Amino acid sequence: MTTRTDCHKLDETLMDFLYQELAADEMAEVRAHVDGCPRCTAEIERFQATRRTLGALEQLEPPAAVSAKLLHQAAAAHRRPLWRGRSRLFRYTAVAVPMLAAAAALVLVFHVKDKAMAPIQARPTSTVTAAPAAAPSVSSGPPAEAPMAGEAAPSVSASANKEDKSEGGFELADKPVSGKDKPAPRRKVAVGGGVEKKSGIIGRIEPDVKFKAPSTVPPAELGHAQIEQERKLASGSAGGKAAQPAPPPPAPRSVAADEEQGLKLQVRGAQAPQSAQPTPAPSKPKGGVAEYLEGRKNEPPSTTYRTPEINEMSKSMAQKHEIAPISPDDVFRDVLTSARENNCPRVVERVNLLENLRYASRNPQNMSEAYRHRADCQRNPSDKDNDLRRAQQLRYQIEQRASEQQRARQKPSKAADAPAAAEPAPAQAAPPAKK
Amino acid sequence: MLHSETDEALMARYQKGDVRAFEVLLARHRKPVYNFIYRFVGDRAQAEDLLQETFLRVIKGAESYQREAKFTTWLYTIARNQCVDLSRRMKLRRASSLDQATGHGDDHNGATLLDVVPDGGAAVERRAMDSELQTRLKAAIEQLSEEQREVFLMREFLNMQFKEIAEVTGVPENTVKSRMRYALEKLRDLLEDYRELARAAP
Repeated sequence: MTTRTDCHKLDETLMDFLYQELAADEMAEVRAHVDGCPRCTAEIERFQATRRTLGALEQLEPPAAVSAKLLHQAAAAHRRPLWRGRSRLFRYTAVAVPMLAAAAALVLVFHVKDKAMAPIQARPTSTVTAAPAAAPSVSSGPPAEAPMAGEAAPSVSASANKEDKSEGGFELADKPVSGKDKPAPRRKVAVGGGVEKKSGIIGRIEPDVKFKAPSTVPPAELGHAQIEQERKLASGSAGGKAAQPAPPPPAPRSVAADEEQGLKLQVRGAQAPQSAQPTPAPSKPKGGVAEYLEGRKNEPPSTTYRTPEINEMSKSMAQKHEIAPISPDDVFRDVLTSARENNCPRVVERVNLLENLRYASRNPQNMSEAYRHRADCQRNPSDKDNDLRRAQQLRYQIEQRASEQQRARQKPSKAADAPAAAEPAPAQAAPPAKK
Repeated sequence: MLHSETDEALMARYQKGDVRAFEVLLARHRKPVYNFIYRFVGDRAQAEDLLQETFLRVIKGAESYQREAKFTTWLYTIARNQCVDLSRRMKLRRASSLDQATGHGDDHNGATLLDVVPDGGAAVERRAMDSELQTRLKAAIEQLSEEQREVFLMREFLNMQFKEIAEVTGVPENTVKSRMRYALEKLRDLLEDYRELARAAP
């Protein structure tokens, strides 16, 4: 039964036999031969013994850190999953906030309708907002929040007004959101207190060109012009903290000089190229985002942002995530809503949470850690993420400046405004009052 | 639920943005891939780097991944290429540098073999003997030529079929089988005296 031919055959198919890669019938055939052939049996056994010996080789567990990094990278490369199953708000927030942040960095100005602002209106004063903070802190939050709101608070520029809508600045809320605007009193509080921590950060945001660049100012110069104006306001007048009576140029919480400078660079670069699109600006929204949104309610959503960078980013992100481009209106709406729900400072964290996945900390104090991880993550960035990264970088710079500014302001503070004074911390936000 | 899906289905999910799918894929394959790489390059630190690089490529190449392709073939090809590239870069030679974390060495350094031998996982009482065996096995594998070693590792540790190995390495299937056979024969010779030990240490 055992023949030389059979042995030869085994030799040819030894590996296949050993690893059982032969077809069933062939396996059976070879097996039959091996069973009856001591020589082949021994041969097979030797190989099997070697395999068994090597089978003792231990299998190491890869370090968890590597897996963590990879998951981080995977999430960074694909942000979309994070939105999955989340509310639209959440989804938009993820995309919109970074975008808005960048946009804010570029100084999007919101039109302030306040009469006090009248003078300013000619040129929208923009307060530079630190991006994430962009979330206007609408005081809508629970009463308790009022003080908090201030922190994040978008600086409501117009401030003095008590009326929600009448107020300039960020009243943003779109109807749904804003519907519940706070009672005047509260708002005041918000304004006054608002200035606190991140106050430096927020300013008015102008969603898009349409929103309004007064024709008087050449678009290209807008950013610069605005800044200049702010600077003037800041230095010249009262710390605008919010509540400013009309007459003095209401420096809407102007940005501190240092901040201005820092931002200026960015603003200029970014905005210069852009020309204001004379889009049908709803006739100057008179005040606040809420009204602006209200006014646009029946218009087709615009997806045009004022700066080319943001426009590009919006498009590329929409494409990347397979969603319709997000309009400035939506951005504001969602960010506002989010801000109301979370308090502004936490919007920042939320974004970071998304971007850094598990690395982000909910504690603002630990943001630096989040940054570190982010930097880590960015070391191997894919080109596609460039746009988003740039926005993030911009935002970080702004945030850092804002915090520096904030720190710097803490000392000098003490805004002149009465309401502001009432608040313990208001000073921070307040522009260096005085001069 | 995700855990019961095929690699290809998971990859498709990840392409659509589901990071959890990637997480499952990673959990499923990181260990075999890591061990393959580690045994190939012989150095833990480098293996960790290459493991990371391998999966990073999966992340970056996710969009271009075709569902018709077998995921593991793709993954292993990436891992194997990483190893080969490193090997070329380092001019790594078989049996080289067991003593340097960076894998730079060129010759045997028996004195440090034990230092590098991984000792995790083994029962304490068995550790001494096991450590010696592990050292020996590791050294034996590293004495295989690179061609033999990769085939051996893919077949034994990644459980790839010869046909798949041929696809990944780009050589005919028969060549793969020959290399496998030579690898086993060489290992058999190298480990002859350790048979008993192996039996003793299940």
